[in-house]
Amino acid sequence: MEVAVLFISFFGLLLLGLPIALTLGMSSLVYLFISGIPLTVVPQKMYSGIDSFVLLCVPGFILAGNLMNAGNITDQIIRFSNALVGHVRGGLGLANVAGSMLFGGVSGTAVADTASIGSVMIPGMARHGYDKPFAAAVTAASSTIGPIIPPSLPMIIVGTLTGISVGQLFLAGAIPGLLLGLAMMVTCYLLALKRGYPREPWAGFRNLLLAFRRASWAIFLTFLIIFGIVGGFFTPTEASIIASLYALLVGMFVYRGLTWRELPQVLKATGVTTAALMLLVGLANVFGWILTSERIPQMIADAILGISDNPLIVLLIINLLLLLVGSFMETIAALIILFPTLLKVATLVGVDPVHFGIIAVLNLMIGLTTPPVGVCLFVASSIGRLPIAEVTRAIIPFILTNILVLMAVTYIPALSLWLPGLFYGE
Amino acid sequence: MRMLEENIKTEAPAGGWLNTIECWLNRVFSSLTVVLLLALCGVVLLQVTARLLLPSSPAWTEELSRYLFIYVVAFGIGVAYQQGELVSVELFQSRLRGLSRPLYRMLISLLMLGFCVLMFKPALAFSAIGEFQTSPTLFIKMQFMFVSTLLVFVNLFAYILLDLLRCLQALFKGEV
Repeated sequence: MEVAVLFISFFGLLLLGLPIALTLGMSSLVYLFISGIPLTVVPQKMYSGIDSFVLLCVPGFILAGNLMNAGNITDQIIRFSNALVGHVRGGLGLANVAGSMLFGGVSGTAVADTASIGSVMIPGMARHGYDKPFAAAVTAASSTIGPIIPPSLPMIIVGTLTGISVGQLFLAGAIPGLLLGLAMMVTCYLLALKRGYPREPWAGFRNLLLAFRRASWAIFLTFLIIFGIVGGFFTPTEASIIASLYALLVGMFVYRGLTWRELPQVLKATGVTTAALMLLVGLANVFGWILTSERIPQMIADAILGISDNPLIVLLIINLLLLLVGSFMETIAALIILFPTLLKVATLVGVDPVHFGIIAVLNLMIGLTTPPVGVCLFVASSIGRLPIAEVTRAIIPFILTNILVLMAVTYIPALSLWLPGLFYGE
Repeated sequence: MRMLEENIKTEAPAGGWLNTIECWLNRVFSSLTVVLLLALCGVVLLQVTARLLLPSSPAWTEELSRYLFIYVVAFGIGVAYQQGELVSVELFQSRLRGLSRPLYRMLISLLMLGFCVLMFKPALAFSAIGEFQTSPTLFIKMQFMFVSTLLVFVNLFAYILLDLLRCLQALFKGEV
């Protein structure tokens, strides 16, 4: 009975349009109230949800991304991507995807990627004869590659929740991320052939090298982060702060796009985004605690295992569930509430935890580009000044591509596990 | 004539005193967020350099950085609300026309204000628990940390209230 009230109030408030974080808090409050549990549980679980050293890399990686953006790195990344793939048919679309892959190696969130790449690429593509909804759709869809390619905020959350090594998760995301990027480029190319999108002139090998040299500072940062963590030199949190310091120095002294005067603004934006994410983490932790105390995770696990104990089918069910949840739930909240439970089910049928982490994050990333709660979709539509419905229609081919890659990653464990196995051993 | 127009332009937008309060709140909370975030980066950098370069590293850095982080959240959350960083589902609002739109927005604000107010007492009670605990390496009374949860709700309350007042003001001035 109380659980029914919990869910009804959650969905009711969500549909009313309250912020998701507060929706989680308010529905938890309603539940605690009618169950006669002291309300101090809310601040207590909220506090314990964010009191974690690993979560400190959230502001770290957001700061690194913001600094890179303020220091003109986005322009360099886009210039290099353009020189690399712009001459193929639909080249700017491909460059958009490649730009997202490179940007994803610096920032840990998809939304940051949509906003920074989108503000340059959506108007740019529209000027060069691409449909604007297509430009917005490519931007939103390709930004979801970012959190698959390390570093990745959702994977840090997965690590925090379950104790799976963040370094292993980062490495495991590398190949699926590249695969996703390639698949999206192919989709772009095929659509470009069909719709007659233009190609840019070949910049020449010299210019390509030049663009690479300018962008290499950003690419190097990705490797610095990955090998710093994997090599055991620093923890993910420390890596994020070192990345910020690096971004600050490169932005100020190499690209010279960043000035001391801009710094407070960049720091403020970072603090504010972090606060919003952490409120979500804290209140999702309260909600998750209620679900656990009501044994809901056990019920979900039993229900899934009741259908089948064949790993192929169990993974298919979990994928469907996560796709559904991801479409109306924020990534981090969904991970906190569902991931530990689903992980238990997956490991029971013999799925590797690291592999499962990648599957879950991939699923939830698809949700970022679908209504009703698709943050990247919203951001891309607002940058392109387009109705969400138009971008939604344009993004369908990319969602199908995403699902195809998800299936490959789900059923070919080696795609995720080969690389971490190489570095960490079996 | 042009002067007059400019005068109207500078005076007409919603609320002089509301703007002053908001400006003041923004300045205080943003500055605190920025300073704490900088301190957080400093402490983590100290931790890395000490571990990699010095013979021994201080034990308190991990704890202090966590505490700074929690206060970054507590001070930053109001501005986050103001800047629309709290994600929500928008099904109805964009379809509403005329008066119903600000009224709906006000209803939502009232709901959120109610939630914040209801959380004041539990958050205070939670901080009181911390009176009897001290942190392991810095020996701070945990009360000072737990009270951050109260600050989150007070901060949110202030900004949601400001938003609501702005809405009301616009309504009375007939700007909608």
